[in-house]
Amino acid sequence: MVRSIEFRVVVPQLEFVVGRPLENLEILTRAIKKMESEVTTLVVFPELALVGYYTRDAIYYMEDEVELALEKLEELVMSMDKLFIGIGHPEYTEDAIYNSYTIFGPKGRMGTWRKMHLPTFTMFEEGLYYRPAEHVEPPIAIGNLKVGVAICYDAFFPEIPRILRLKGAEILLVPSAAPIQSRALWKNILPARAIENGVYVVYSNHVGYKDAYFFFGESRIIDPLGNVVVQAKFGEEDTVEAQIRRPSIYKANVRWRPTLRDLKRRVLKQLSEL
Amino acid sequence: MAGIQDIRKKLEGIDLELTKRLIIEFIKDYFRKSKAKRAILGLSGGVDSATTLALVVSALGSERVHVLILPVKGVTPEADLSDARSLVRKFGVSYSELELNSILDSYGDLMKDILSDKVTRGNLTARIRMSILYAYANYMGGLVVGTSDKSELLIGYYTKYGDGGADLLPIGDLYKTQVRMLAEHLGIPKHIARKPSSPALWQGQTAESELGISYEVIDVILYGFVELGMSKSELYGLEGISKNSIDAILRRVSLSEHKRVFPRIPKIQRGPTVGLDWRFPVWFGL
Repeated sequence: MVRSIEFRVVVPQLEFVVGRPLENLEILTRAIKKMESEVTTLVVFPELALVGYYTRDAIYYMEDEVELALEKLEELVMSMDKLFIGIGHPEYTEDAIYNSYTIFGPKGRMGTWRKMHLPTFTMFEEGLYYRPAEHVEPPIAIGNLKVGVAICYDAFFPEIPRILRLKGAEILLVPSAAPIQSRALWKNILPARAIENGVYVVYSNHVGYKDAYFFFGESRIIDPLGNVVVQAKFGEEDTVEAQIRRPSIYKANVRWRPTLRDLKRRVLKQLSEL
Repeated sequence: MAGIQDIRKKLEGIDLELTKRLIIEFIKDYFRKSKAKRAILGLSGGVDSATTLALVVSALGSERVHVLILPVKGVTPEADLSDARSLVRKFGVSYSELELNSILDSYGDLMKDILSDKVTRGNLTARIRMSILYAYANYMGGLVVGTSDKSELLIGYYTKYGDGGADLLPIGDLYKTQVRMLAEHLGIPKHIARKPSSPALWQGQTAESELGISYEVIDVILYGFVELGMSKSELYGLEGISKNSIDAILRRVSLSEHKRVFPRIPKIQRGPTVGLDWRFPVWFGL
């Protein structure tokens, strides 16, 4: 039987400012300082939170501020105890920008995931600005749980969470920047990803208007059977949290709906041959 | 394939309470970020401006809204004028009523022949209204809130830089049919919510007689084309709507594209060109 260690997940649903990383650093710092706890705590901020997501061409003018803000965030998290934060940010490399997500812990940067599927349709222009990830980064261990990240639209492709699950992820973070037009889709997608993989899903969304697009919030934590454990408010700032216990993941996977046990690896082989 | 009834059902299936909230939040957000003090709004007594007024008052409070009623004596229907005045009272907003005849007469002295054309004169009237709205906006530290709806924007049924000249268009993503529904939802009197649409730029002008097709039909065509992505041949297959009507509406959409974009600029530089490949969000702070 698995040990039950307390593990707290917090999703602060905050309004970030478009194109102003240093203002967002202040917002993040205020939120993070409130999070310190006796219990191992993972704080999940949304996709590209550091730049307010809807930057368009402004993305080309904020590299220095983004780098500085990330350094400051890392220092802040390292100065605290038992605290882990996940934050979405542009990752500037020599020849491209990625839509990335980094988890910081007491020992600094623990892992960075890059988004692979970049929505480039209707209001979305990510394909203009970012390079898609080449591969899926494996999950990392926080406490006795393994955490993987599928950034927003990546969660629409079951293969991405599946790879993370098969590499051991028990908690799937889905940082997102979803306008209201995507609301109904997320309602269906998120429990499906939880059930088919037997994982907790932590969905963290932006809130409020960015230019003329409304981001609907409703950040939520979903258990491995697809139940919404807790959900933040629609369209306004709110913070939600839940305790995640390893035995509930274990039971869901072993007894109640053992999708992972029953998954036939030959299906994956067949898929890879298509 | 969707029939007329299916399309109408979707068109009318809009969540009015959610729509109201999204528009109110938008107005609040825009005024907060722009730090504008007042909303300046031209009120005709028609459904679009009445609905916009209700939304702006809900978002900002009546004390931050100033209404302009800008009739042309002999052209503006008396019924519209009295509806506009009663709306101002209903929402408890300050207002100024300015008759435009003397301005139009002055323009007429300068260019008599040109303004004998009713369309030219009508468009000029719309642009005079715009210039007055902006004068008030400048003076009061305000933004001009436009009242165009999606049906009008798509078929180009408005005056470029006239009623089309505004800082924000709160109901610009709602079809006329939906605006009428929202109007009733917001408590706008039924006779205003259901009033036949008219720019009232000359005597007896109504939208439907000028367009030759009712908004009921226009909205089905536009909704099918824009929201459901129906092709021309799929639209032709709709029973009860003539091919001519569909062609006429789609032609209007296409011919009015110039009204929906920034004035075209021939691209010279490699860097982004305004209105073409220049892409920045509003509220980006360098």
